[in-house]
Amino acid sequence: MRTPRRFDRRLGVLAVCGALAVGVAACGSGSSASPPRRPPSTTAAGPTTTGPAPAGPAPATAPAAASHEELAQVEQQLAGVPGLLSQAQQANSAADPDQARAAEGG
Amino acid sequence: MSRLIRLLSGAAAGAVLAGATVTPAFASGTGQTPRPTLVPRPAVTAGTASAPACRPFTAQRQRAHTDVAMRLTTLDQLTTTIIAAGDPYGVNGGQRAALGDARTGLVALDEKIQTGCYTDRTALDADTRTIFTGYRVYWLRVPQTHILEAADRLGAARQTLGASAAKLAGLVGDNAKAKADLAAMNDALANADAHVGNPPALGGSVGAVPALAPAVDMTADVAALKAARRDLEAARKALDTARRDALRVVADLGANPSA
Repeated sequence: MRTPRRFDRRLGVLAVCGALAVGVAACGSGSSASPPRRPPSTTAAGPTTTGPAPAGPAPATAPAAASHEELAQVEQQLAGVPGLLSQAQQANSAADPDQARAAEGG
Repeated sequence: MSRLIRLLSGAAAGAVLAGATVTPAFASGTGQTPRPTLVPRPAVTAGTASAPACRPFTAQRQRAHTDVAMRLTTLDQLTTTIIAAGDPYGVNGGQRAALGDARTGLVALDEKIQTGCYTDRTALDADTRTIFTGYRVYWLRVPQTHILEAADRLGAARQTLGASAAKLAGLVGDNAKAKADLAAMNDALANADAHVGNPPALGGSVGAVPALAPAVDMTADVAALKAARRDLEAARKALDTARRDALRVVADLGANPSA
């Protein structure tokens, strides 16, 4: 008689523990009642990023629109450089001392 | 003493005899018979009215005037060029002064050649040679000015690219490709600096050009000019590389580069 009663008690403890474990697992991974958790959406909250956002603090995406303007300014600056380089090349060509020697005469 | 007396009496006699050919009235007072065939001797009668006659050398003077006029025109053109080139390295003031001094000197030399008294060709040759050797308008001032002009253009490009690099540095963020391309751009800028300098510091062999001066033997000047031209070309290529790198950075960051 003692043995079955002790056995029943053990079974009861196991049942309670099992139920708790199932509950904890259900709480951690979600259940049929709650959908699985997903990474925060970047298309809804983030203004410009297109790929999945990394975990942690939000990336510096806010200045992107201003950066586009700044990039356009940089492009505009760079547009004047080829003309300067071409003028430099022409001036350097006119500085040939061998040709200058011939012009000197004397 | 007797030697001194002989010298004095000889000089006096020479002066009297020479003067007789030009001013007979003065000679008539000496009591000596003038020699009609006497030819003045300039070496003895220096300081008197019997100096050798000035010779026209018309063709040579005209040729010298033409040479000077051509050089004055060229100096004016060079001055215009250097004024228009900007001055990122701060050396153009000295070059303008050198060109102005050359102009002033050539005008004075031309006036001397055109109005001076040349009794023989040697002195005229010496003055006309100075038009070339004393100023080196074509052999030195032309290439020197154009080298500084080229440096000015590259300096302006360097300033623009430097400003672009600084702006891009604030935009690359964590974009690895953009950061790598920006690093390449900065390397190219450093390469250009080694050849021509980052304004306002003129560097490389170009830095020696403003101090070059006209010389009879132009060997050293020509060597310096050629070295500067090589540095300018290397700097130009480096700056073009930097420009292309900058456009890559812009593309990396999502813009739509035009080149």
